[in-house]
Formats: sequence, structure tokens, C-alpha cells
Amino acid sequence: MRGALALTCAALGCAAPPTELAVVVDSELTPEDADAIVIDLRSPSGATGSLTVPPGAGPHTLALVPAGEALSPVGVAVRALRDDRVVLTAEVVTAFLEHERRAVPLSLDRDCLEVSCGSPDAVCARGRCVDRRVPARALPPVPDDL
Amino acid sequence: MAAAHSAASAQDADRVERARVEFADAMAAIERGDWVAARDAFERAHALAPRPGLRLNLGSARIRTGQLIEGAADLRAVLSEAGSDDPEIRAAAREQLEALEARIPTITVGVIGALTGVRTTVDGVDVEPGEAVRVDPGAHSVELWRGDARLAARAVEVAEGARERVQMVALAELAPPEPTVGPPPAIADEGEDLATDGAGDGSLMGVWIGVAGGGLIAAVVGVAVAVWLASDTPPFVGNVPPGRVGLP
Repeated sequence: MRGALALTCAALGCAAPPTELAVVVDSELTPEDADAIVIDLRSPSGATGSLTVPPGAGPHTLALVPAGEALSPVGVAVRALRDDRVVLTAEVVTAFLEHERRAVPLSLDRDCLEVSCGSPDAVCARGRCVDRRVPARALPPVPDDL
Repeated sequence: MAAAHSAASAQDADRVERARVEFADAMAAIERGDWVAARDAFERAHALAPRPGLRLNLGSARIRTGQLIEGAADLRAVLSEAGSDDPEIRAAAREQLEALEARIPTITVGVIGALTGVRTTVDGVDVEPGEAVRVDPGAHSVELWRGDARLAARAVEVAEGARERVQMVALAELAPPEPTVGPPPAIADEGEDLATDGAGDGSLMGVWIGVAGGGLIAAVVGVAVAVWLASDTPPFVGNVPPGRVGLP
């Protein structure tokens, strides 16, 4: 399917799909639960950076694209803070897929407030502890044939 | 002329008298262990009647209350200012200053990534990357800026004597990608399973399908559609500034 689409694109002169991860952060938290949200990024080269999410209703979205050769791993952690203390963390460690657009949905669930999973590779999602490592192909695609 | 001189002398005497009262208040505060009140009283006394001895006391009180940087400045002033010729005061200042140096913590900010046009600040003051900045013990804010855009912020708590290093990344702001024509190259396998199929991890896939089915993906699609209609190469741009970042 993808090959056919690419050949069609080549014939029509359209662009190949970009390599992207679309981070989508949704939150159930109220201002009483958290007063700040910070998105931490870890690049395939191991570089790290943080972005402060402006206050206001979500979902908050952010596009990630590779700026080097390496595509994996990509770490995205979202921290909810109250009085500078982390009350909830949602996290995914995944990868770019070349010329594919995948969504990285991260949800700040009230069920996960103050939940500690006790393992560095486990994070709370929907009230239960799950592996933070998510194969890129398990991420939902962002449709490119709309 | 003589009257004016007399008035000025009276004013000086009044200031010295008020400084004496403040000094007495400071000593009383020390007696009851209230070093903050003592510091404030010494500060007022020194402002009224600057004397090396008062500056030494002020520096000592600042150090006792965690204001190591200002305390060190007071001690240096005692050693350098004109009129600081009392050997006892100078020796006390020198001794305190030597003991203080190792207690003053530093923060060194390192930056990697897309460095063009970026600057770093500690508590809102511009600092050079790699420079060990002397700070008081306690909470500090380290920020990374490109123009008026704050790229990253980090809250840092430093203890006395700590040598804190803060590594920050200036993420690349990419222009929309150049159009490319042709089939996409094969998917690169970068060694980690994360880029591969992920078969066998059904539980994780279930989580993500569940989340996507919950409506979050709608936001992505909505933005993607809007951009798609506007361009042949539709980069997704999020609503979190800068919207689109490159990961080295």
C-alpha cells in the first residue's frame, strides 16, 4: 500500500511523507491537581531538552522530527507539577519510522496521580503500570492519505 | 557658611546616633538568635554610618543567613575600602573570607545542540555557557533562550559548596522540509527494537489503540488536515511553542 502510494506520489510529483512523531498530550488534571506541565525530550543522540506547556486547555501538541542520522530511541516524558513537585509522569520511549508519521498520545490521567510504579521502565497509564518502551509500529499512524 | 557647616555636623551626629541604635538592635537580635533581624539592623546601621566594623558585622550576618555572595562582597569591601586600616578587623575579614570561598556553590550551564543565537541565564541574569557561576545556596532557575523564546527551563536546588552542572539542549528549529520525490527509502533499523514491528507486545499495542480510540488522535488529524490542504509537504506543527522541533 505504502509502496503504491509512493509510486503514485513519484508519478504525480508529490512529496514523500515526512518522518514525524506527533506528540499529543491530553490531561484530565485540574488546576488544583497541577499548576504546570513540562515536556521532556530525549533525542536519539542522548541529548535532552524541556519545553514548558503554556497553561490552557489541551490537547497540547508538538511535532518531533529527526535532526540527525539516528532514529532511535526517542524519549518523551510529560511531567505534571504542583508547587514544583512532580505529581504525575507520563512517558514513552519509542523511535522515528523513516517517512512515516506516528502519533505519540500521552494522557495525564487522574488515576495516575501520585502513583509510583517502582521500575524505571514502567509508567502509569490509565491507572495501571505499563512499559514505557513502545515500539514505533505500535503507535497509531497519523493518516497521510486523507 | 559656618551655619551650614554646623547644620551638616548636626545631621552627621544624628545619623551616627541612629546607627548606634540600629547596632544595639542588631546585637540584641543576635542574643536571641534572630540573625535575619540582626542582618537587617546592621544593614540600616551601615547605611547610616558606613564603617569597616559595621560592614564586617553585616557581612557576617549575611553569611549566617545564607547570603554568601553578598557576605563575601562585604568582606572584600572591608579589605579594600579606604579607612579599613584596623588590623583586627582586616584579619577577621580575611579569615572569614578564606573559610567562605569553599562554601559558595556554583552552577555551570552546558549547552549542546543548535547553538546559533542561544543564550543562557541563571536567575534571569545572562551567563556564559561553561562558566562556573557563584550563587547562594538554595533554589535557582536556569533558562535557555533563543531570542525572546524560552527553549528550556530547569529548577536547580544547590547546597553549600556544591558544584552543580546543568546540561541543556537547544533543540533545532527546522524549516519545513524540502520536497522530495520518489519512493521512501527502506525503514532504518537503528538497533533498538523500538523501531521494529513490536510484534508480541500485544498489551502495549492495546494501550495505545485504546488511547487513540479515546479521541486524542482527532487533534493530530485535525491539524494535519489543515496543513495538508495548504502545502504539498505538510509538516505537522503542534500548538506547544515552537510547535516543531528537531531531535539530533
